[in-house]
Amino acid sequence: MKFLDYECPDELYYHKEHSYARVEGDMVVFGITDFAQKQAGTVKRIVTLEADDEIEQSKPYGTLSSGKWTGKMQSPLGGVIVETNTVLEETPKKVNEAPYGEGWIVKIKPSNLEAELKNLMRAGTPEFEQWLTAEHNKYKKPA
Amino acid sequence: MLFLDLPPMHWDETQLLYHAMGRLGIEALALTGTIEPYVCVGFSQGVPVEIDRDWCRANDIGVFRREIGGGTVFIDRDQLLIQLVLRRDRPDVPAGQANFFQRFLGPLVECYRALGIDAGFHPVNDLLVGGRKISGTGGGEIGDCNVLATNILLDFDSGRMAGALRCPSEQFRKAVLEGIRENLTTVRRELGSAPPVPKLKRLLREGYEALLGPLEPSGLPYQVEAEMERIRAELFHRRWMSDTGARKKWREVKLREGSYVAQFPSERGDVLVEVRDGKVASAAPVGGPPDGRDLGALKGMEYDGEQILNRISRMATC
Repeated sequence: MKFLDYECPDELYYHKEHSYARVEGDMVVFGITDFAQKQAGTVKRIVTLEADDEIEQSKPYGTLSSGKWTGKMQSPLGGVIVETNTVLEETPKKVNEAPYGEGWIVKIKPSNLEAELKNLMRAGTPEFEQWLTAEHNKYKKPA
Repeated sequence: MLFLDLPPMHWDETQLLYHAMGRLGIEALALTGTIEPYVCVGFSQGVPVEIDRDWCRANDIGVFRREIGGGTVFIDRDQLLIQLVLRRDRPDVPAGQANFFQRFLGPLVECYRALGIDAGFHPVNDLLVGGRKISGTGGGEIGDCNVLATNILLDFDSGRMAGALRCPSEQFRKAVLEGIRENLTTVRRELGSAPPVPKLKRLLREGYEALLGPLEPSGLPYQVEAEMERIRAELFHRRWMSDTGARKKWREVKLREGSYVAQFPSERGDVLVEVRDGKVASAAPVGGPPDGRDLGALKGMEYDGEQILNRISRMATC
């Protein structure tokens, strides 16, 4: 679905810091949302923790840079990283071009999937729409 | 929130300062300068790609890689360094990098104007005077804080900046040097002389107090000093300093928004490209006379390194 000009695929789980989780069997793929990539501008660099590193829900697992600015990326779920997207080392702007596709960031083996998914939002729910509307307004350029 | 009016510090300390305050969550406006010259590389860049370390060593120029954004900068005693560290959860810290830069570069714009320099903010983070850059700015998140690191260029040594950069050819270095002179200005260039630093500090303090409320004058807090020592090993760790940064098949130096010098590799010889206002202004073979390629066809192209590289590669195989 699309909400306020942002692509928000239905099958994903969304973290309030604009990362998403896509469950694929017993693995989960993370990335940043369409909203986040639009706010970031052209992504120049992505650096994450590496395979075998443990991560915790809502804790930073990497840094994203648009050249002028660097920001932390928060993990939507806890677990162990099994793969990082090496394509982003040469073409980080894949995150802008296809945040839900080729611009995925890491794949993890979750440690507490069922419980932690309950802390995330689904597209189309009132909670999600209220949150994204508030974020959209917050990031608007001041008059 | 603290106001740190600090005397010039050793080069590495000037950068460790805001990294330490951000990690500790100590809000402050710090104004300082460096005793020794150095170059400082942004997060998305890599020292091995950006900097000629042998040249820097031979010329006593330090090398630092920061955790926040912005490009490579050369810093010496002719600059006043301005570092603003604010907790992200403050109600007066706007969301989004563009809003953050615009709001907190405002007092710096006002400071220039009070000196009689008609500086203006140009998104995302450039401060320009007559189309020339007069401050170098980067920002980012450190710990629970947002950090703005910028400066006032009282004067600028373009030669040492160009010397410190790793350049794939002398033609590239020459174009960078000319580009710096064309795209940068300084307080001295605009006014004919540099005002006293205490006056600049007073103007900046007044401007930031108008925006953030009263600032509390302080010396360097002990815990910040201790944190600077603690993180020194981390920020000078071989792995951090040898990171090559964002991988590119070409070498590029950004002079200001929309202005670049870039050298692209090609089977038939490298090509030097100069970019103005986001478009290719000139393209020439490196190290030789025209070689039959229609490099003029690149002129006017929107600057996108990958597309230009592809276009040059196609010329090479025709």
